[in-house]
Amino acid sequence: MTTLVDLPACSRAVVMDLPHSRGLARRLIALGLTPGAEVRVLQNWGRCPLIIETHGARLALGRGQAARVTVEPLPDGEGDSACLEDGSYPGDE
Amino acid sequence: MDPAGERRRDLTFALAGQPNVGKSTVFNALTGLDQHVGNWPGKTVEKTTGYFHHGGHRIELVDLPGTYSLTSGSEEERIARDYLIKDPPDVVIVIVNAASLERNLYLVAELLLLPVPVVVGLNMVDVAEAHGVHVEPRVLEAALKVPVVELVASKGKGLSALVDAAVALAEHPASFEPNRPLIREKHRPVLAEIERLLAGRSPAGYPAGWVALKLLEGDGDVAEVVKRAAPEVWESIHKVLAGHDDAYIDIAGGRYDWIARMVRAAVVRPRRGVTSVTDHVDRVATHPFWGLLVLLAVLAAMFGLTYAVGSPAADALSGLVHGGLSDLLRGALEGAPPWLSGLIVDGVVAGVGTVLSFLPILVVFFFALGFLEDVGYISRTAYVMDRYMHWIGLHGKSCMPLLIGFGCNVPAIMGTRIIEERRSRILTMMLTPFVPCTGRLAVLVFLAPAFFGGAAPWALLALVGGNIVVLGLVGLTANRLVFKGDRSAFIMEMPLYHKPNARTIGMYVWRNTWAFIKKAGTLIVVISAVIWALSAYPGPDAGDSVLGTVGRFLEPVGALMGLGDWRLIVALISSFVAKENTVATLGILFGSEAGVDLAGKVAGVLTPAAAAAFLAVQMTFVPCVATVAAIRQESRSWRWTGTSIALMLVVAFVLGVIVYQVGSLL
Repeated sequence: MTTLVDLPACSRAVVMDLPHSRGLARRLIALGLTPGAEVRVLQNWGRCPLIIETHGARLALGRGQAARVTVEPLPDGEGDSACLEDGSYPGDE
Repeated sequence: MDPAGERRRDLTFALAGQPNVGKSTVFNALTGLDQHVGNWPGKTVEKTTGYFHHGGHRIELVDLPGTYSLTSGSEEERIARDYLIKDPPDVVIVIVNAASLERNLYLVAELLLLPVPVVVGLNMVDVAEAHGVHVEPRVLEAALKVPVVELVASKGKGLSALVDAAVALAEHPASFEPNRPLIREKHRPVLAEIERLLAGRSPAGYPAGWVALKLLEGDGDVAEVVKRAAPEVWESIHKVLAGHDDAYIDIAGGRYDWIARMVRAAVVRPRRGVTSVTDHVDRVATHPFWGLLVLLAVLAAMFGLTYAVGSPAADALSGLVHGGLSDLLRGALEGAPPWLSGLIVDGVVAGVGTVLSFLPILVVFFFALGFLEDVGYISRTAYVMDRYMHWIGLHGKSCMPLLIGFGCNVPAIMGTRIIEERRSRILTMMLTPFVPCTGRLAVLVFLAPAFFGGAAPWALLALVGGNIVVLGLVGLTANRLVFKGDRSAFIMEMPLYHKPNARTIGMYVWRNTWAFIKKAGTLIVVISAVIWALSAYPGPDAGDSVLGTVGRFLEPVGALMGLGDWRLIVALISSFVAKENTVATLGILFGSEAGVDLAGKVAGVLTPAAAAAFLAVQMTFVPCVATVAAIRQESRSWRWTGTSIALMLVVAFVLGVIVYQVGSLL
C-alpha cells in the first residue's frame, strides 16, 4: 500500500483513502485532499514535511499525517519534472 | 462612493473567505479606520466590524473568521456558521483567491447551502496571472449563477463593483437562484430518509435540508441541537446514520466534483513544467539547509532594524518621559503632598514611560511580521523549523513568535496569533517568557564580567544556552503532562508569494500597537504604580519599605540559592516592572550609581556559585509586567496568565537551587 510519504518529489498520484481519524480527515478535506483528488509532490526531503499541490493550492503536510493518506501513483507524464527539489542537500545523499 | 441622494435602509454584509485570499485587505479598503474590535459573544475569538456608506446605504461589514470550511469543528468555523444561521446578514461577500480557485470554492460550496445570498469577489487575479493562471469571471459567474466580481484588492480595483453587486442582491434577494452542489447519487436515499424523519421537527431557526445534510456529514454540533429539539425521533435518525459513518468523505468529494464542473470552462492553468516565481524562491526558502540560512538572514534583518530604528526611538521616548515629563510634573506638583507627587511622578509616569518605551520596538516587530505575513513568507519559516519544533511538542508555526521573543517577549506573545489552534497557541505563550529577551541579556552583560572575570563570555554562553535547554524541557514536560502529548497535525497552506501591500501592513501595525496601548497599557501603569508604592512605603529608606520587608522575609528561601541578601531578592522582584530594572535597583540598594563599580560591589557579596544562581534566576524569573499584560490580553484568561507567572517562579527557584548547590560542590 503506497502512501503520500512514499512518493518521491516530482511525482503524481491520486488519493485513495484518508486517515480514519475524523478530525484529521476533515482538515485534509477542507484543504483539498479528498479521495479522487490528484496530488503532485513538490518536495519530499528526508525528515521534513512534504510540500504538495492539489486542487490548485500548495500545502505543507507533516510526515506523520502524510503517511496516513493512501494513494495510487500515476505514471510519469510529460513535463512532470517541475517541482522544487532539484540540486542536492548536503548530508541528505 | 456616496452620491447625494435619499437615505436608504441600513444593510449588513458579512465578509467570508479562506485564509490567504486578501480578505483583510478588502475589509480595510472598504471600511478604513471606521472599525470596531470586540469579541464574538462568549468566545475568545476577535470580532471586527466596520462601517461605510455606499449608494445611500449605511453598511455594516462583519469580518467572519478566515476558515477553509464550515464543517471541521474549529471554534472559528462554529462562530462563522452560527452567525450566518442565527443572525443572517443581508448578503455574504466571499473572497476567493484566483490562484487557488478550486480549493477556495469549497467554502463557497458550503456557504451556498445556507439561506443567505452570496456574492463572490474573485481576488488576486494579478497574482494568479503572474503564476500563469487565468480565470474568466463571466464564465465562472454563469456556471455558479452567483455574481462574480473581479478584484485586485491591493490596488483597490473592483471594490466598488463588488459592493454594487452586494447591494443589488440585498435589494432583490429573491433573484438569487444559485447552482447549488448536490450530493452524490448513492447517498441521496439516506438523505431523503433523514429529511423524512425530521419533517416538521427540524430545530427552529435552522434550514431543514441543511440540518439533514449536516447530520449525514456527522456534524456533532448539529446532532446535539437535533437531540435537544426532537428527542423523539433522534433514536431512529441515529440508527439511519450509524450505517453511514464515512458519508462525510463522499459528500466532500461530491463538492469537489461540483467545483470541477464549475471551473472547467473558467480556469486556464499553465501547462506543467513551467516554473513560477514561487517555485524559484521556494527552491531556496523551503530547502532544508538553505531555508534555514534564509530564515537566519531574515531574522538578522529584523533585529538589525530593531536595533537601528526601534531602540534609539525607545531611548528617546523614555528620556523624554523620565527627563522632561517627570521634571515638569515634579515642578507642577511642588505644593502637593509628597506622597501624591511621588505616586504620580515615580509611579504613574514611570509606568507610562514603560508603555511608551515599548512602542517603537513593537512597531518595528509588527511591521516585520505584517510584511512577512503579507508576502507569504511566514508559512515558510514554519515549514523549515517544523522538525526542530517537534522536539518540544510544538509545530513550525510557533517558531516565529519564539524567535521574536529574543528581541522582546511582548510582540512575541501577540505574534502567537498566527497559530490558529488554541492549544498550541497557549503552549507557545507559556514558553515565550523563557526566551531571554534583550532586557534580560542587558543585565547579564552588565553583571557577568564582574562576577566571572575572564570566564564571562563562557558564563554568558552557558546561561543563554541553559535557558534554551530549560525552555525545551518545560515545553516537553508541559506537552506530556498538561497537553497529554496530543500534538496537533501539521497541515498548512503555502500561499504563493506576492507583492506586499502598504495599507494591509499599516493596518496590521496600527491594530496591534493600539491593542497593546489600550489593553496592556492600563494594566502596566497600574502595576507599576503599585510596585512603586510598595517600594516607597512606609519608608524612609527602600530597606524599610514593604518590598524591603518582603525581601528580608524571603531571605531564608533566597539562602537556598545562595541569595541570602535581601537586596538581591528585592532587585529580582523589581525586575517584574521591567527586566532592566534589576541593575537600577541594585544601584539604589548598594548605594552606588550604576557604572561606578556597582557590579563589583554586588560581586563582593556573592560566591561564584551564588553569582551564577543569581543570573540564572534573573533569566527565568517571572515575565515582566508588559509580557504579563500581553498574555492576559491574548489568552483572555487570568488562569493562564497566573499559570505563566507561577510556572516561571517555580522554574526559577528550582534552577537557582540546582545551580547554587551544584556550583558549591565544584
